[in-house]
Amino acid sequence: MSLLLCRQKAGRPFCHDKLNINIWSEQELCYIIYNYPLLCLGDFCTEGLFEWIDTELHLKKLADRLKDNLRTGELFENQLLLILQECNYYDLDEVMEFGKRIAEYRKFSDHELTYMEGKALYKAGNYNAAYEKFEQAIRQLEAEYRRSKQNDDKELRDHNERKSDIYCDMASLKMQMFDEKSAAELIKMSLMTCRNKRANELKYLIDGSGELSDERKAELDLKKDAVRAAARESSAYKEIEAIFRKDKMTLFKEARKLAAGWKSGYRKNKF
Amino acid sequence: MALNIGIDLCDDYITAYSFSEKSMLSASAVICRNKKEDLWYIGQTAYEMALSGTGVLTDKLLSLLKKNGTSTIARKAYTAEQLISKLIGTVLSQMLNGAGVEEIGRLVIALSKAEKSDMDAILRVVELAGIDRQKTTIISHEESFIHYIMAQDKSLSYNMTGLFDLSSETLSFFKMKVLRGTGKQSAVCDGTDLEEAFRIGILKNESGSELGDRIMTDAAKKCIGNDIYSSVFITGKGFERTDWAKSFIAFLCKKRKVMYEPGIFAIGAAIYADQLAAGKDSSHLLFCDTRTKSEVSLSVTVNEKLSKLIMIPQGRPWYDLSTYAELMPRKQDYIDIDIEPSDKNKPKRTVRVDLKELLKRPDRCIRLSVEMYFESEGLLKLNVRDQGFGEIFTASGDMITESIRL
Repeated sequence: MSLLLCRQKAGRPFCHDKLNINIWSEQELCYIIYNYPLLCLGDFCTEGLFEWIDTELHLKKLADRLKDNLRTGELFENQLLLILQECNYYDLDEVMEFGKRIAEYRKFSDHELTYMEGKALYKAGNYNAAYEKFEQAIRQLEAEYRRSKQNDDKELRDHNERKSDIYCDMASLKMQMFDEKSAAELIKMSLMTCRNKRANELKYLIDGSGELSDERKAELDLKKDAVRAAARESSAYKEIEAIFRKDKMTLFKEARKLAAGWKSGYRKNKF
Repeated sequence: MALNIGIDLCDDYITAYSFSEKSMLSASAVICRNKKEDLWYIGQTAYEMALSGTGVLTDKLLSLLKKNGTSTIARKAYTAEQLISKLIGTVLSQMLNGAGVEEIGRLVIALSKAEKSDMDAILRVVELAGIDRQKTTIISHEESFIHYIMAQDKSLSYNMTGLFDLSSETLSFFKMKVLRGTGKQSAVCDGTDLEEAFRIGILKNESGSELGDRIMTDAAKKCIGNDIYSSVFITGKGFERTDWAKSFIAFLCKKRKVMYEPGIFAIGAAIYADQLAAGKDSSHLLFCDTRTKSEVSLSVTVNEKLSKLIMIPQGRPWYDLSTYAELMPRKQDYIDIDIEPSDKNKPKRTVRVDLKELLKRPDRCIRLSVEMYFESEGLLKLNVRDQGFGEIFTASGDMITESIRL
């Protein structure tokens, strides 16, 4: 338990391209690294970031070490760890946990990492960028399968299940973007790849069809009703209700603003 | 070249002093406007104009200011601020003319008490008189006395130093002590208005003089008692003659140096004006009604080490003092404000400010701004505001406000 004394914010922010967010302080930098590590590997740890850490955050020692590490080819994960260690936003236990978490990523294949990156972008509300990652994950999955030497039935089954799952995630994304038609097509592709329980459930939720037991359909109906009821009580719903109670001019103005917010999630990257 | 001036402003009188010129101007704090022309007079001339019927006089200007009052002269209503600005303006132009200088360097105005509303009003008055507010400082009689004594020979302040101020209707006693030890030395002054005040008009006759002498002697015995004073000063209109106060002076003179210094507060203000103009910091920490008497700090973490963040240091002028810091609570839903009085006999204390109302986000996702300033002497205002967390979480605009009596 403590109160961290914050330094003055940066005069000029650093832009995180994948999240399309401006970072103004060392605390925000650490938060993004800790919560979205997959979006901070690779082209995030650049000379530009280290220069910003030096000139705007005035952490010259840290910046110099990061630049030296970059020249010697240090792993990106270790660069991120160094930033977390030096900024003291997270305590030692949390930094160690982060270190273990990102070390685990080395065990994943290319398509798994890309898929996880897509999930991170989805979580951040960057639907368009997430969708592109899922597409890339499918391409990588197929390339991995082609390169694989085994090609037995089990491997094919695993490959198809994986691909089918990713299509389901893409369908969910399209639903988030109010694109039911594309979602339905993706579910169809998922089911064509292999039998997928999740795809059938999504299909049932979208158009009432889907190969499910009556019992499961009833469960999903109850779940749908519960989610709708909860949504009606949510602050977002009440915000929309409040907008509709206002006069026409204000209603149009605020509705336009709200819709723009929704659209920005899939028209361009947004945090 | 610019002239640094100290002014003592009361209901009864206005005194201005320039240390470099060693010139003093003292006048009754009254203003008179010619009935026909826009000509203004102060002091004795104002009385004469009023008596002759050519002008309209207004007195007790500071009391009028406190009441937000106005005075109608030649069918025009003037606010107290306008009248005082004319008073001060006239005094300053006379001082500048006397010194052959056109510009004011620093201006320090001493008021009898450190009331924030009065200080705000006098700064507005100064602006009305065409003087740059940034060049003006308002202090109290307590602080002015400290500046005066610190510029005198040290032998006068080895022990305590006293001051009796007898004006037309008030009697005040100031007690000052210089605390010497390791570190930065400090000077403490306490002023009290005495109940024994009397109208100095009674001193015009013998019986009134005897009564006045008796009152002053009793007051001196009560205020000084058996304490050891190196020196005692007397000032004010009531001491322009001291032949009526034989017993009083005799009591004071026992084992002490006694000095009469007219315009002591104006001189002290002028000394401070010179100090400010030279950019010099006082060699001592000052504790009086215009200075902070407690240190206010927060315990914060910097690079994983616990540190003390001093928000309000001791001995600083509180009037325009405000401090600001940005903090991030880590698994903590309160801020502890530590208060350490300069008087070592008073205990340290901690005031806890609950932050639960503001902490509606995940841990460490809120940057709080903490702002402190003084509403009045000894009353600290604290504002804690949600600054959001960059573009990740926008600021809610929520704020917690507390007033803390120091």
